[in-house]
Amino acid sequence: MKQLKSESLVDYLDEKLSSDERSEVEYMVKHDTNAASDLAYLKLAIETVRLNAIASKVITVCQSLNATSSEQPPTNPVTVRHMFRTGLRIAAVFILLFCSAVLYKYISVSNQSLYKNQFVPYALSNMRGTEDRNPEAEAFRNKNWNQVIELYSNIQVKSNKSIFLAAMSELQLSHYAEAEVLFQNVLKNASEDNSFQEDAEYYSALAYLMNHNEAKGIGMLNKIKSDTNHRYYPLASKISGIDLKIIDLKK
Amino acid sequence: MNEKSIISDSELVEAICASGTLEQAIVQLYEEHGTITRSFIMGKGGTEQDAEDIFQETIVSFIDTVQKGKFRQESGIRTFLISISKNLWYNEIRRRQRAGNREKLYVADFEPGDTVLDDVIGNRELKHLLSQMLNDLGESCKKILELFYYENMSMKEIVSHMHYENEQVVRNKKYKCLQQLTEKMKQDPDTAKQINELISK
Repeated sequence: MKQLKSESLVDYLDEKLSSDERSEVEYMVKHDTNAASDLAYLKLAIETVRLNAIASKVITVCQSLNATSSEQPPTNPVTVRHMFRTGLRIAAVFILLFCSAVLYKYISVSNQSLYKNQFVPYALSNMRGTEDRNPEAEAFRNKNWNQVIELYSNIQVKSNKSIFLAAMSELQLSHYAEAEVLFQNVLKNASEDNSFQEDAEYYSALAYLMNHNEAKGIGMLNKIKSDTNHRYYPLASKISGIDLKIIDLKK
Repeated sequence: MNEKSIISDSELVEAICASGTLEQAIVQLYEEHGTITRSFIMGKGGTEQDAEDIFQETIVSFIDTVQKGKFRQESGIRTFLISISKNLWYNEIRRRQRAGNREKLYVADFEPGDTVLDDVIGNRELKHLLSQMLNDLGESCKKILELFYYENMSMKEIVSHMHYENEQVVRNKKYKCLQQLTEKMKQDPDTAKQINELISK
């Protein structure tokens, strides 16, 4: 009888009873204090089950989130922000340095600076024939540039050597236009006498640059740079492509 | 503040009441209100563990309140959670003081008088006792009762979920578990006294 009453109370709470059966239970609870007490205990038990289920879910989720957050110290937003800021600062410094270097390079590279760096005074070799002791060669060795030019102008039959020494003398006197013309004459005669061809090519390139004939100067220097057997290749190869590009841009 | 999907208070309340979205709602509560709630407890003398325990208890109480339809959305969720946390923490301090622990008191601004809050905080110790009794029944009892009374599973679904022979076995098991729990309640004099006081109100 007691179990039957208890089962009815459980079924009542589980909403398993018909409306007549529900009315019977409600009547019983109203008139039987023990039944009312049992129903209250059952309600409290079910409420405990509910709260316990909620608590289990909350604990599980919170523990999972706590574990996730404690596993990820490197992804702490503050740290990331600091790292990001530091990275940006470093990048900014590098960009600034790079821009400064590019600007400096652009400003510092010019026809004049390249000429200054690349011009090597021509040394007349004793190995180059018997005429080395002629007055023009002697004047050249003595760096008497005006005398070389004067002697050259008085020569009736002008050899490539004579023209080249005159051209180099003009170059030493910063007479770039005159030097350019004379070097061109050396190169024109190269089919007959190529003894000064490579010298003329290199120095003519410098003369072109100083004469603001950048296209011809850069073209000639690139030709020498591409020929490893050229006598002036070691000198020309020191000129960077960037420097030549800057000169080309500045023209 | 977390930059994940922020949903409104009313959407959060809906997620708590709907089936299958409670876990998402708990994550949202944790991420949006966890830090400030725990900071409040720690600012009132609680340890990190106290803050975590009170926060979890706060979430449980809040979900219970919402699911019973007692949460009035006049105040925001955060305000309500802070109020629950504050009162749970003061309640805990009082409990510890009664137990002989000498801890600094921060109970001056305890907020009695709010019937919803009183309901949430009231009988906190009794709730803990009853929870312990449920846990003492064993895992299978607890699971059957939870599946039926909280997850609203049918007997047929529980048979499939827990691999019982048939629905009658589950029905009998569930009945026995419920009876065992109520018997435990009645047998513990302190619990019985508190329950009787509660019933007679």
